[in-house]
Amino acid sequence: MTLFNLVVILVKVVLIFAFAMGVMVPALIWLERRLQGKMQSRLGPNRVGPFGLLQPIADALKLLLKEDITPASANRVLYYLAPIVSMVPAFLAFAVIPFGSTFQVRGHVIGGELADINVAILFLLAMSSLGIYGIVLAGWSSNNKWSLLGAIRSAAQMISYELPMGFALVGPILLVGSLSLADIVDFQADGHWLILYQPLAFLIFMCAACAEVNRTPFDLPEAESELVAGFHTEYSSFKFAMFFMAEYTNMVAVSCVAVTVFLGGWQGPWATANPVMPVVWFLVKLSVVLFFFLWLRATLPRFRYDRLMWFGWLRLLPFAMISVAATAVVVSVTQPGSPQLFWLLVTNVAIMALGSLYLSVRERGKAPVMRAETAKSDGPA
Amino acid sequence: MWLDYEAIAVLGTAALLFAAGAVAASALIGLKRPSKTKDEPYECGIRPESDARPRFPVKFYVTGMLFIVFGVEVVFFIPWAVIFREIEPRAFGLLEMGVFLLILAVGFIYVWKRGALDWEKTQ
Repeated sequence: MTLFNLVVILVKVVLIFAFAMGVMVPALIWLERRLQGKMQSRLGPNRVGPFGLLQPIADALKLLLKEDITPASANRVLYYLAPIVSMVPAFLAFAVIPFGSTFQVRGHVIGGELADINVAILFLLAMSSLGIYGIVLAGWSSNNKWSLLGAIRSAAQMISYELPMGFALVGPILLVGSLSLADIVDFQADGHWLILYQPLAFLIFMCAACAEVNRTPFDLPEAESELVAGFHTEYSSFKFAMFFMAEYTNMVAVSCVAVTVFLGGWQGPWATANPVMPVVWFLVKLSVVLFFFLWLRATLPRFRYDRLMWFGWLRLLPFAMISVAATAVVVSVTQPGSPQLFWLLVTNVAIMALGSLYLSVRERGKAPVMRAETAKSDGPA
Repeated sequence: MWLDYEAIAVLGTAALLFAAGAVAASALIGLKRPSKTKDEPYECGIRPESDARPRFPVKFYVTGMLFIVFGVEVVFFIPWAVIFREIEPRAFGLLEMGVFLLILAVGFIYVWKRGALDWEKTQ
């Protein structure tokens, strides 16, 4: 490793930290609260700094100065380890995201990502799975009934939604023929975004992504109306803040994946003109996806737990499998490029239309069943 | 290639240091006034009875088992998807995975019909 390479790596690591901790997480916390305010006809934080912009900093400082309570019956080692375990994988996901195109500095070619590895998608899936450990450890080590319930629920939810997420990513891999995110972005040049090839997979991915990062409507692990605060009930002070930072970092990471795999990554008009334009495109797309997540929270109520499992296993998973099978068939019989795009679009729309038609016919007049089920069931799941 | 993994290691170390530093800061800064009541598990103000690690419904275990089965299947799909267009003849690659998907689907439908995926029925 030459000194130049080391400097490049260090600069990129600093940039990733600045991007995640310095910009995205505080901005998201502020924006989420302000937008929630607007969408619920109230003001939101507006006292600290102009438009309440300094609110995240004030919150962080306040939490840092609060008393750090460790329950007497907690498993101390795991209790301290859990926030670390949930935070590190969230950061590691950024290592493979291409934020911009490759560019040259004094004859050296520098990639737009920290690490262009040839198993990038597997790496991302692995990191998103590792996040579960943090939550389960937190819930179990607290020795609190709310925490444990929240943690088990969360684990079951996250592993269930990982399957449709994995299947949704198989379609794009089939088309590109590579797991490297750089190759996937290159494939999407000239407006050939994978969302056009794989609209169904994109929808499935977004639903699963919501569940993976525990956002509304899938925020059951911390369902405050029934589980106090779920897995982090016992956490206070900055350890509490760390779970929130990990959650927001995860949300940014998963949005980065959605942008990179489905929305063309840094590709866009004039993206090849200079090294700044691709980064701008990436950030614009990322903001749109993040806004969508915030919007969802103000729009949708929380799922009931049995409906959540039902939706993941019996709706998303079969559709994801059908989508992969259809993609494989179309890819094997059509020429790459525009014909493939056309036929995939047709197949995807057909699957979505026929699927929803079949389900709506089958479920017609069945709506009260859900309520009857609730009446019969006794006790929380 | 190795340089890329070194870069990931650097980022991992940095993230680890940051997270550990945050936990340490949280433990060191801030006042400490422990009391017996405060150190009890939070149960909405009621004295906690018994240990908080009771037995929980077996359906979570069933979900975990099913995840392992289907998760491995997804992992098998990924290498196939990467080299799919290089498999000659193409119908062979398609047929091979079709059979695999069929077996997977049969298992899935069996589990579905047995009610393992029906959260309210699983006991």
